[in-house]
Amino acid sequence: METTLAIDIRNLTKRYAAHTALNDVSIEVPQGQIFGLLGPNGAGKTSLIRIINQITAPDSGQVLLFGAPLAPIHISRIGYLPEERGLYRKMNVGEQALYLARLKGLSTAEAKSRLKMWFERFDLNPWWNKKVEELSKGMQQKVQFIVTVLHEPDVLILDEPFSGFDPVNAALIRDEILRLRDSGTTILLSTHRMESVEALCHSIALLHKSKVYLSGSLTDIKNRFRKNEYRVVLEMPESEFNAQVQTLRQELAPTKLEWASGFTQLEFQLPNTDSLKSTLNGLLKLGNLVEFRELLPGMDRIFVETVTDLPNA
Amino acid sequence: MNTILLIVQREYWTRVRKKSFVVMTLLGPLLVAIFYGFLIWVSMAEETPTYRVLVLDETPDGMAEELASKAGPGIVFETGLPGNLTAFTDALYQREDVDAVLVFPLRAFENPSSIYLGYKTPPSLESRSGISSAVEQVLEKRKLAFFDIPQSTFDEIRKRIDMPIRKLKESGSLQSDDSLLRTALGLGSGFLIYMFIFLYGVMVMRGVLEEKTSRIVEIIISSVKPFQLMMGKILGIALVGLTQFVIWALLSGLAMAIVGGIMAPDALEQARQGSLQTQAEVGGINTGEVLGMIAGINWFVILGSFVFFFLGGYLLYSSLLAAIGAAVDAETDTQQFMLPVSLPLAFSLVISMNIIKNPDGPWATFFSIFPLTSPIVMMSRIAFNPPAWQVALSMGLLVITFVLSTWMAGRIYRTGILMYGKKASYRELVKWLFYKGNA
Repeated sequence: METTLAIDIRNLTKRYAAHTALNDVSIEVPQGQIFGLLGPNGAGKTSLIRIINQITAPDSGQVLLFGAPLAPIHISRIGYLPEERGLYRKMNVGEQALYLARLKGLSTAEAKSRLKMWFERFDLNPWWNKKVEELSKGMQQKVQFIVTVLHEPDVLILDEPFSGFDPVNAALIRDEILRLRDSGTTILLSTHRMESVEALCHSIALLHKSKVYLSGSLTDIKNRFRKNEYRVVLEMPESEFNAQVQTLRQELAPTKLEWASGFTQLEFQLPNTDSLKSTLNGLLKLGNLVEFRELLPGMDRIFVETVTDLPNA
Repeated sequence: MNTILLIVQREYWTRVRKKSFVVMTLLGPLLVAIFYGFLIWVSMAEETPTYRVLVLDETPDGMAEELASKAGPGIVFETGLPGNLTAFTDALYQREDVDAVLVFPLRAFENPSSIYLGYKTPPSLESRSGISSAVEQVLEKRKLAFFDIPQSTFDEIRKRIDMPIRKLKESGSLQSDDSLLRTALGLGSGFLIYMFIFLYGVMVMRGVLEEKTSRIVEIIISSVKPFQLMMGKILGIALVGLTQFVIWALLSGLAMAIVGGIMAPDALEQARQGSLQTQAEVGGINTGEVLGMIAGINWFVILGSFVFFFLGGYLLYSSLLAAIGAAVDAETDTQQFMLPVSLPLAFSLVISMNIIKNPDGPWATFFSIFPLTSPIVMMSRIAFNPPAWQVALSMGLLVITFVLSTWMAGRIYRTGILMYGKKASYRELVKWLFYKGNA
C-alpha cells in the first residue's frame, strides 16, 4: 500500500563540539499514524525533534515534511510538546494560552473560541483567570497539551506526553491522542514508556548512540525478534501430570512447567517452527488444550536487548 | 515581524500591569519627595549641641572679655572667671557641661599664636572654626584700635567683589556663563543612562532566566525564532523603562514643586530677594539671563543624543545581559559573567565625573568614542559641544557594536536557552557562537 510520508528524514547528521548527536539518521514516518521514537537517554531523540521543529539545523541531510523541505511555513503545521516544558508561572492561564496560540498564527477570536471548547472538555474553565502557579502540575500539563494541539497541526510531536499525569488524566490524554490520529493527524511519540508504545504506536524507530538501530511496524519488529517461544495450557489431573513431568522436562526443556488446580502450564522454546506441529500433536494427547499462543517479545525486552547487545559503536 | 510585535506586547503588558511596577512607579516620586522634604526639614530643624568653653584670660587688660559677644551658634564662652590653669583644668573635669578651656596668655596681643584651646571633648569642625573666628575678631578689633584705623575704612578695604564670569563671543558681545548648567546637564543625563541600562538590562536578564527555568522557552521557540524572542523581550522592556521614566519625571517634578511650595515658601521668597539684592550690587544673573542660558543650549541636540545613546547603550548591554541569562541556570550563577559587563558601565560613570573638568581632553575623547563607555561618557560631554565628527564617530561605532553584540548574544542565547543543568564557561560560549542554526 502506498502511503504519503508525513515526515521523511534523510541521512541527517548533527555534530556538536564534543560529540555527534545524530549520525546519518533516516526515518520515514507515514501519514496518519502514531510513530514511536524510542531510545535511551542521550540517543539523539531530542536533537532530532529539535531539527524537525526548526529550532536547530542539521549539519547535513534533509527533512521533508509532506514531501517539501522544511521551511518556516511548516512551523504552524507542527505542534510540539517538549519534554522540558513549562509555562510563565505568574501569567494568567487563559491569557497565556491565548498568547501561545497567537504565536502559532491563530487570530484572537479563533484562538478564543477553540480554547473555550478545549477548556470545557478538560474541565479547566474555572481556572481561566487564575495564575499558572496556582494550578496543580497535572492541570498545567493539560494546559500545555491544549496549547500544543490548538492550532490543529498536521504533525504532532509529543516528547514524553504522559509524564506528570495521574492514571486518570493519562488515559484522558491517551484518548485525545487516539482521537487526533483518527482525524488524520500524524503523531511522533517519543517516550521511554514501552507500554504506551505497545498500546499506541503502529511503527517505531529506535535510536541508539546517534544511529537508527531498528525501525518498522511494531508487528514486523516483533516478528523479527520472535524466538519460537510458546505457551500451552492443558487440562489434566495431577496424577497424569506427575506421570509425564519427567518426559516433558527431557523433551522440551521448558522454561516454565507447573500444575495447579487441574491445569498444567507449559512454556518452551523450539529451535525452529518446523517441529511445532509434531510437538503440539504430542502435547494434545496429554490433555485438553485450553490455551496455545506464541510468546512474542515485549517492546521493553526488544528495547533492552537492542541497546545492550550492541557493541559500543 | 508580527510575532515580534506579539512578544513585545506581552513583555510590556505583563510588566506594566504588575503590582510592583505600579507601586514603584507611583511610589518612586513619592520617595523622592519624602527624601527631599526630609532634607529640608533636617537642615531647618537641626540643633547644634552647645560647646561650652571656659576662658582663662591672663592678659592685663581683659582682652578676652569681648569673646562672649562674638560667639557663633552652638558655642558658649564663659569669661571673667578667676583662677589659674590648674583651677581651670579642675573645673573642666569637674563640670560635666564644659568641653574645653581657651587660654589667653599674658602677652596674647603681642604674640597671638600663644592663644590655644585645650579640650576635654574634641570640638566639631563647626565649633573649631567658630571659636577661631571669634578669637580672630577679638584680635582684629584690638589691632584696629592699636593702629588707629576706623572700622569703616577697614570694611571698605575688606569688601569682596563677585566677579562676573561671561562668555565673550566672537562678535564681541557677552553671553551669560552657562558652563555650570551644562555640567549638571551632562552629568545628569549620563547618570540617567547608566541607571536605565542597569535597571532594565538586568530586567532583560531576569526575564530570559525566567523563561529558561520555567521551561517555557522550548514551547515558544517552536513557534518563533530565538532571536525574535530575545529582541521582543529587549524591546518590550525598553518600552517599560521609557514609560516608567516619563511617569517618574512628570511626577517627580510635580512632587518637588508641591513639597517645595509647602515646606519653604518663605525661604524661596528670601532667596529671591537675596539674589535680587546681590544682582543689583554686582550685576549677577537674573531670571531673564537664566532663561537665555536655557534657550542658548541646543535642546534638540541634547534630547536627540540622549534618546540615541540611551537606546544604543541599552541595546548593547541588554543583549549581552540576555546572553548571560541564557547561558546560566540560576541567578546566582550570573556573577562570573556579570563582572565584565558591569565593569565598563561603572567605569564610564567614574570617568564622566572626572572628565567634566576637561571635557575635550584625550581621555574624555577616547572614552566618549569607545562603544562600551560612549553612551554615558559622550552624553556627559555633549552639553559642551564636542566636535561633530567625534559625535558621529561615537554614534557610528555604537551602532556597529550593538548590531554585533545582538548578533553574538543571539547565537549564545539560541544555544544557551536549551542547555539545562549545565553551567557554561567562557570557552563554551565562544563555541556556541559557531554552532549552525537556522537564525
